[in-house]
Amino acid sequence: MDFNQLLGPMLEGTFVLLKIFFLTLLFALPLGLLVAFGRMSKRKYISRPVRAYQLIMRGTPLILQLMFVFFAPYYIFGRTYDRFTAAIIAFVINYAAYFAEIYRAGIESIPQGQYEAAKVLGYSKAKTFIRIIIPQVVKRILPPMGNETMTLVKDTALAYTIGVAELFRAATNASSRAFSTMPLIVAGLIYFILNFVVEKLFIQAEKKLDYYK
Amino acid sequence: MSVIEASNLYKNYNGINVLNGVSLTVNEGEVVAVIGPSGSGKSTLLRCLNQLVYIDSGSIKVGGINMVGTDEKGICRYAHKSVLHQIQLKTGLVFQNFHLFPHYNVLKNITDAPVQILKMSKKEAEEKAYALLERMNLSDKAEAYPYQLSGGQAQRVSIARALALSPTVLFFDEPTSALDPELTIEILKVIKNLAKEKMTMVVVTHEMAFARDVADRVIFMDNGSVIEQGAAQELFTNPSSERVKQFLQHFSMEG
Repeated sequence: MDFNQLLGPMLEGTFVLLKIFFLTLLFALPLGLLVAFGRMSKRKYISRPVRAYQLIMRGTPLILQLMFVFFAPYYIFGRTYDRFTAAIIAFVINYAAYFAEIYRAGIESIPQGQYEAAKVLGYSKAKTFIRIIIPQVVKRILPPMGNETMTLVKDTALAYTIGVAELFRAATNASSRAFSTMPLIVAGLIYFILNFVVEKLFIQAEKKLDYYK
Repeated sequence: MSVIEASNLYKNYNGINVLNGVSLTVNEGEVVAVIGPSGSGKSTLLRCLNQLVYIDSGSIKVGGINMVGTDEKGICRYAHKSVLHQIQLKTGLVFQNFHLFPHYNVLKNITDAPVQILKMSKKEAEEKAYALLERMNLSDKAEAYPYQLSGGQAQRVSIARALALSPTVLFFDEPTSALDPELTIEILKVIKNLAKEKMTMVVVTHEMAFARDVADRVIFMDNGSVIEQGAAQELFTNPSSERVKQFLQHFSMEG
């Protein structure tokens, strides 16, 4: 089998992988902040359901969540919808739950004195958060966010279970067609190279914020 | 004219009366030292005057403007948010642990509030900041980040940061308690100079010699109440209450 014939679908798969990756980050990063606020709310009727949602997302396999998000509408309403959309929804609600905990850890690690100093200087709550708290939080949460982001690159492979033609699916298809493990090894290399880049970016971001302690 | 008029302040935390009917008046240009044992409510008093803690009842006026009042039924009401904000800007607070913003350099620590909150131009704010840094003997530290400063330098920056908003009264919450004796002298000098310039100040402190020498008036607090207050010299040399005598026994007041 021609190597080029294998490469085409694998590159397409990589493109789908990247689409899942970026769309998940695009929606899950802000949603996670909202979830973190909900979790930290003093109002029990907000914090409790949010906590329950996080527990479900973190307590059950992502692979099952993918299937649930895709198949549930079929069983409930008798309708199917786009697999790719289902994958994005599942990834976003799952990753938002994890991101929220990282945000929460970051926000709660900022000393009370920072809020007090800002209040005394006349900063509004929003200004305090945007100018004083968030920049310090970002620096502190970079290492765990790097963790999650690298996991996300690999987790995109799970979209395979609901039939999204991402890299892992392309590789297994190619592998069975060609009776070769070569495509799987190539897939492994691609995941590695992507995460190599992700790791580099996070290290660079950390270095950039290294100017203060 | 009195800058601060606080009367009958009550604050209860979990069944403990941290402030038990405290009244305090501070006149323009006056330096008031608040002394007393730890846990006597001194810091809470400052925090109430600065809106970091909300009182349960009593009244506070800053510069003649009502910040909070309590009616005959005992209902405590704070002024409108915009009024509170204006008062906030008129009352500066210097913390024991500085609480500088670690991600901003010294200059930005001082200019950010004037630019962001007072809408001062960046140029004007920086000119003012450099003038303040010069007064604090820190001209060479404008570009430094807080982690690069000694405790004494950090505290002087935090004083400059508070002064940048041109407050009418400046509160100090144990400004030297996190500093070694040498740095303590450094900070006390700065406060002394401010006193010479007739800055109105309320200083919570454990530095008795400083309270005696710099303060116009000393207030002694214990268990959430003002036990005794008077002219500094008078209170230190001839306290009328037993509790104050007992407290001052621990300090040798020579020098």
